[in-house]
Amino acid sequence: MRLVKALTPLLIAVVLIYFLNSGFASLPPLGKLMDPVHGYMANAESKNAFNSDNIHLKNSDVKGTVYMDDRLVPHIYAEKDYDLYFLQGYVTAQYRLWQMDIQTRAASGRLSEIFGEKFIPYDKEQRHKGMVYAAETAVEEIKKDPELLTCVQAYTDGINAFMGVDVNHENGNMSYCDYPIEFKLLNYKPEKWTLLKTGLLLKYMASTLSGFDDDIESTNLQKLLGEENFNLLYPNRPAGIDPIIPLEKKYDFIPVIADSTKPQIAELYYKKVLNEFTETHEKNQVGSNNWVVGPSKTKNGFPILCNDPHLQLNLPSLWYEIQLHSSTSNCYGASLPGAPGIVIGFNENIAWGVTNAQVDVRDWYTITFKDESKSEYQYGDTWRKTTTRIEPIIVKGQETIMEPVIYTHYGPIVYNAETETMDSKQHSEITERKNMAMRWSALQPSIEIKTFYLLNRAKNYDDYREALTYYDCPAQNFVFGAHDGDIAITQQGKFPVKYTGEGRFILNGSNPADDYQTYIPDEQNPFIKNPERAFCSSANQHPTDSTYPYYYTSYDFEFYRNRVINNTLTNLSNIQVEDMQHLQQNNFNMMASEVLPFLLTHLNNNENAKTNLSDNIKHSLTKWNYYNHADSLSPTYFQIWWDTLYATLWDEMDNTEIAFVKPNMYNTVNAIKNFSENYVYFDITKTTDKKESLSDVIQMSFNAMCNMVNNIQSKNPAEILWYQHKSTDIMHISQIPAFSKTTIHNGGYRNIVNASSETHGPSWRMVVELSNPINAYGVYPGGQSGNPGSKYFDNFVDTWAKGEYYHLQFFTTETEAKKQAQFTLTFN
Amino acid sequence: MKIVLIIIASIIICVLAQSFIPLWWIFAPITFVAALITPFKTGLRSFFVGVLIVFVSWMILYLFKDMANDSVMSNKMANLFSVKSNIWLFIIASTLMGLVGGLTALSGYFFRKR
Repeated sequence: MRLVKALTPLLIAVVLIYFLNSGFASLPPLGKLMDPVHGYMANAESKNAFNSDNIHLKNSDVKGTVYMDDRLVPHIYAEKDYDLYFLQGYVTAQYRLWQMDIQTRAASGRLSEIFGEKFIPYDKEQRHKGMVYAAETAVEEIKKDPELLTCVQAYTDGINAFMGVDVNHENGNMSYCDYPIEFKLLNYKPEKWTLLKTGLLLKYMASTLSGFDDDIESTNLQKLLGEENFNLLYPNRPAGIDPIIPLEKKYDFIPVIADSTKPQIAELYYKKVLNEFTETHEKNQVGSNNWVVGPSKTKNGFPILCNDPHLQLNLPSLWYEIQLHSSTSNCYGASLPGAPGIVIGFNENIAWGVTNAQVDVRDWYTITFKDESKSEYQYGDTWRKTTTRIEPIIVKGQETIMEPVIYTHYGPIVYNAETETMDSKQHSEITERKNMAMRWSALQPSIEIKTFYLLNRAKNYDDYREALTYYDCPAQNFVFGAHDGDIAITQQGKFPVKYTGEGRFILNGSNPADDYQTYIPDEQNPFIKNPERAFCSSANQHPTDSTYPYYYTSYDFEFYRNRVINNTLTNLSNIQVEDMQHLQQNNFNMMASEVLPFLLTHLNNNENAKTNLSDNIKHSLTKWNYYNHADSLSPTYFQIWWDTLYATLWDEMDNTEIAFVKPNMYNTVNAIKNFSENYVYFDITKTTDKKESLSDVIQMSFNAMCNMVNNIQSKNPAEILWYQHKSTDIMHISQIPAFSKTTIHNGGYRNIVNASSETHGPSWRMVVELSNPINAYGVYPGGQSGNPGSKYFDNFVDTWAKGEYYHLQFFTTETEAKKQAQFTLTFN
Repeated sequence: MKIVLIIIASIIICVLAQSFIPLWWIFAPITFVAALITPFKTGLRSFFVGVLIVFVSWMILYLFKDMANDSVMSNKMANLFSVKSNIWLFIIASTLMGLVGGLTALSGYFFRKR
């Protein structure tokens, strides 16, 4: 009896310990997590943690020094390139390991492995898009280039050295205590880095920047609206384009010719193919600005180069600031955790930056199989063989799924006609199920990382042009400036020669005439060196005027930021660094300036429903200077009004069964201002008994806006302030709100140079004066440490939100780096 | 007096053990042994002493780490678990672990009496 008494509390304690040690349902093991020494408090970085250290690595004779400056930017000095990239990998892993792990897992469709069955659709989509195939192809290409292989292998070895990977520890010897906090919370373990993971990271970026198209939507729209209305609402080249390459450029080369065919109009409607997996419509929101001004326009007589890529804003940030110094290079800038080298930056001689080309490089082909085995498909009069990749999808707590993905010479069959989805019967009358192959240039063999490797070392314009020849996808506008005074911009990518309209709509995979015939030679891609206007710029707009001899199309060209930038640069002279910083912060809403006066004139003045509030709003909008500043009210009025009007105007396209895309802002403004008052699609479809005119919908949307403003005001008046209404949120990658920064106090919006929207924005702002020494500024909304328990996790966010910059410490000598270092890691 | 000394010694041992042994439940055998060698009058008393030892040693460790970190991590974790403040998070976790330590102490008490 006494023994039972003694054992009972012990047993209860053991059971409690067991449960707290193993985690239940979606909870992590709470006991381990709460451990005040090895649990989450191990990630509570001590203020005094930053001490110099001598590190001697087993099985490695890497020599070099990492000088950490006061913002925790590493300045890596090594003699050999292998050692340089090894240390880049080592240091990046030290501060960003979880981010590198989750991004590459996401890219390869391996999230169900950690999070369970709810991620199966997402994983399947990644596999069907060919992400792993693409990464494997990229690694094969890297292996063919010994110099580049050394660089990527060194980076991989460095990451693995940090994790303690060796023959006895396949996935490293990090203890639970040393794991980044996210591994503890999500309850999984780090795994070793591979060349493939670097490949995956690059393809993840390719997908972010070029994994979009609206071929299926356009096909449906052309059928629904008819060719005339389609071209009216979705013109490929609307009036008023301000292209990247100025009009002075003469395209005096002999273009390569492809067979000319007129695209056929589809007979049926299609569902959005990739929706079959995730059922969310991803709208591309990426964009960017870059420009360079020539010596004749600047006060100090040196080019000034600027870049701000607008990507999804996350913590930890996509970017990691670094200086890389070896006997062959000295370069500073923003790197991508997971890839060696610097992506946007400068060295002692040149600076470069990128914006997304936004040209459509993803096309869809309908495939006709010979029989159910799908081993052969029709191509003209012949049958071609398919190959099948089996993609194993490991699912936590379930059996592994063996997902077959069939490949044609175009690319993977993303969507099988036979795939039964729950609602297939319901839609079978209006949509046809076809086998569709996706052709995406990211799946072609290429070696983009070589471009960055060479740009890191480029000395002049010729080096820059040479570096770009290795760059295929995602197509970018590379802006360039050199200390010697040269400036240039090039749109670089591997673009097929297309007939007019090719690739805008679904193509017929059994018709060889619809196949790519040849590619545009690199030297015929749009570029200009030292233009008369003494500046080059790009903001995702059309690359060229209509004299460029090749056809191209896009799912989303820009029409506003580019004009604001070009107008500003044209008018400026004696330019200094501060002027360029101001331009990056520019909040001018050109779209509003072009449409709002027109909308206001259409408001009914003698309406009975008029209230004080609506009068005030109207008055405020009339007086507005069209700047979307953080604490203004008018941008909120305008945006709510515009969003309501936009939704009302194109309500015809609110169809969940068939894939559509609504006209973009620019074409909508054009329709409002120039189409007839009673244009057929201005009508509201819900109200079948009457026909609304443009003035009706303008007035209705204005009234609706006033009501909404009234509602917001009665709850919390502060929410009318523009920054609160738009609410730029910088979410932690795992979407944990506690690790995120929300409702940032800043201005701007989409189509504004300061492109801070709800989720996206200037992810790295850089201004470089190419003087000697280089005078450079930069900031990104994050921090150098990926650890939420570090004061360096998000310490740049406020600086970024205020529109301020850090002076970038680009050291030309190691002595200088040593003098400025907060602490030093010496490897010997 | 002897009991007070044992409590203080246990807390010191607990703090050291938690610091150097990566087993979060290492306090459990410590309170068990402490109760085994201490002449507690009642089981209830041994239980509360167990709770006290664990609670105090965990709080010491939490607060020590937290001060050096300016509460950056703990504030975020409190937010994550929807707890009012980081101190409350420490108190809740230390009390929960204290209960486990109390149970093993109680068990130690009964073993001693046997």
